[in-house]
Amino acid sequence: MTTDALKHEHHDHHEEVHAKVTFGFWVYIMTDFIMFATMLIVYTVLHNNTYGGPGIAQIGSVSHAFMWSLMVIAAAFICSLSAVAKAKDSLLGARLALLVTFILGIIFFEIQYRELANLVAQGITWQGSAFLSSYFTLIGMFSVHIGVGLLWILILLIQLGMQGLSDRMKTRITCVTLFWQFLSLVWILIFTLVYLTGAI
Amino acid sequence: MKQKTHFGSYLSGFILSALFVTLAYGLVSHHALPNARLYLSIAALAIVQLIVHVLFYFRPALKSNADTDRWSMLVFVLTLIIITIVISGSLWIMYNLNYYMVN
Repeated sequence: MTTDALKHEHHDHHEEVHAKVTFGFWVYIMTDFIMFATMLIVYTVLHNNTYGGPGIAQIGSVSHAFMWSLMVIAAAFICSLSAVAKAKDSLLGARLALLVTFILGIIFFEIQYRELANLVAQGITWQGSAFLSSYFTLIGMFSVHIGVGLLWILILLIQLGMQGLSDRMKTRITCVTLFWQFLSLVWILIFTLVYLTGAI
Repeated sequence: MKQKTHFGSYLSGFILSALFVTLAYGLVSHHALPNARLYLSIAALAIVQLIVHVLFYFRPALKSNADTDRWSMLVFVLTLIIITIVISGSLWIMYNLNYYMVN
C-alpha cells in the first residue's frame, strides 16, 4: 500500500467518525429541543396564574429582551465563523471566533444572572406563584445552557492551544457551533413566547 | 482537499434571523396590528426563524455525509412530531379542564 492510499484511508475514516459524532450530537440537540418546547408550553399554560403577585408585564422588559436577542444571535453567528475558519484551516481565526463568542456569552450570562438575582432580592422567587416557577425554570435552564456552552468554549480554547486544528478538534468545533446556533433558536422562541406576548 | 466554508449560508442565517427578530419586536412595540393578528404574526415569525435556523445554520454541519444526513432529517421530523403532540395535547387538555372547572 502506498502512503497516498494510507492517507486516503485515514481521511475516509475521519469523515465517517466526524459524520457519526455530528449526528449523535444532533440527536442530543433534538432531545434538548423537546425539553425546551415542554418548558415553553408549561410557561404558556401557567403564565396567567400569578396568585396576586407580579406578572410578566411587571418583571419582564421587552426592550431589554430584544437587546439580549441581538446578542445571542450575534454570538451564534460569530461561533459559526469558527466553523468557517476551521474549514479554511485557520487556527487563529477559529480561536478568535471562539473568544468573541465567549465574551458575548459571558456578558449575556452576567446580565441574565443579575436580572434573576435582582428579582430574588426583591422577594420575587420561584415560590411566589405558578407563573414565577415556570418563568424561573425556563430562564434558569436557558442560562444553564449558556453557562455550559461557555465552559465548553473555554475547554476548546485550551485544547486548541494543545493540539491545534486536529481532526478531532474540527469535529468538536462543528458541534459547539451547532450548540450555539441551537441556543439562538431557543432564545428567539423564549423571546417570542415570553417577552413579546407579555408585552401585547 | 479544500473544504466548503459555508460562510454565505451562515451570513444569510445571521442577517435573516436579526431581521425577523427586529421585525417581531417592531410590530409589538408599536402595536402595529390588532391583538389577534399581532399574536398570529409573531407566531408566524417564530416559525420562520425555525426554518431559517434549520436551512442556513444546521444544514451545513449535517449534510457532510449523505448517509447520516438522511438520519438527521428523520430525527428532526420525529422531534417536530413529538413537539406537536406535546403542544396540541397540552392546549387541548388545559382547555378541557378549564371548561369543566367553569361549567
